[in-house]
Amino acid sequence: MNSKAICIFIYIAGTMLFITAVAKFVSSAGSARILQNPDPILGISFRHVFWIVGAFELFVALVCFFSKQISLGAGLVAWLSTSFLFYRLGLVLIGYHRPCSCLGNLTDALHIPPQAADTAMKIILAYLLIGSYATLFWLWRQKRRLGD
Amino acid sequence: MKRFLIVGCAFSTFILVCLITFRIATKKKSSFDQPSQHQVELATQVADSLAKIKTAPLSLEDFSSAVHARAGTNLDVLSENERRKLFACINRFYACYASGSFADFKQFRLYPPFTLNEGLVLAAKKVSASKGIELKSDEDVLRVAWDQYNGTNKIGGINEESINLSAVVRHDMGESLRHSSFSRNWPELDTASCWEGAVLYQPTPADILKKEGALRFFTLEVFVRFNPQVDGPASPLVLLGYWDSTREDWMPYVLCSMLHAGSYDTIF
Repeated sequence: MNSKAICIFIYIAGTMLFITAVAKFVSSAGSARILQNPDPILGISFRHVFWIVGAFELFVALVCFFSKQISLGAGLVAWLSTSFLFYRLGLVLIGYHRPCSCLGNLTDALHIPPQAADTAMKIILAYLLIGSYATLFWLWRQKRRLGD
Repeated sequence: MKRFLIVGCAFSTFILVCLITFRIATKKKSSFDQPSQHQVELATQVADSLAKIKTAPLSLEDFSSAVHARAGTNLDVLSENERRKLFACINRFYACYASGSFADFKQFRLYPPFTLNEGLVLAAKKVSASKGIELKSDEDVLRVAWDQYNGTNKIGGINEESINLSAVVRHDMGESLRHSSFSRNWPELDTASCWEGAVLYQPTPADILKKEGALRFFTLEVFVRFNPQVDGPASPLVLLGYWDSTREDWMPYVLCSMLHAGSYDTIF
């Protein structure tokens, strides 16, 4: 892994988070009845969850795009993807097996089956998790080498 | 700055983990999407019962006569003027949802001052933008939303014997009134599925309740079949409205069905 690959990863992660954030904002502006249903973990309506999580994703995406500190971008991506992992594990542990509405009801408008969207989001999550932790590990090793 | 960010991130993850732990600890026995065998059996029994209910198309005049005839002594607590206004409101409701006409929706719902549901406005704007239509007024927004959600849906049949109109005084927002008498026979099933909030009147029912300490509600219960599923089970429908003393009229509040009424959808 070199710094160019890390930069590419950070930009791709930022783009993915930007797209999912926009999908959440667009979905939350709709009038689908599911938006009024409470999220099984957070207990607030899906509409509010989309606003909050969309804002986090947008913030991290902007950091990925504009921050000169690679470690900051990678750290935030690692934090966000770890939170998503906890959330998904939580869903499994409480027995909620419906597809994650991570992209909101925009998938309906685009005629993407919920299961396919859910699988895509799992792949993206794995990519963000592995990529961010690998980046942080590489940066930590670099720092240690420089220290030596 | 970076330190604050780290603390913020750690704190939010901690809160998330606490919430997940709490949810796991307080998890209900029944899972979210795996109904128990008992619930499946109950739902089958409900569907069977509803399938046996006979409905027939009714003209507005016939519906109105049936409501008058079946109201009986339930409305004795109301003055003559209040009763007359209530029957007029019920007629406008039936004219609207049995015809599927936006003009009738307008007659039923558009009584200023009111605001529109923000989500509905945004959804209507998206639809209209894709069709190149400009929305200039609240009425334009509702027309697009009505066409989008209600489309050609309408009440296709009524079970005359099931019509029940009554009025009650409550000191709350009447949440329990949303369930039909029929659904109270099946307390194990969480069945109320409601349309509400497309049009929000001023003052709101909550404002009136706060000001007057009580709210007068009317409930109209009736078994109907909607036109997309005329051969399927009947749906117990509940129309809930409240008396607005500032307008001196009954205002429609919420429309509920038991279970989700198949492919039927509308705005309210």
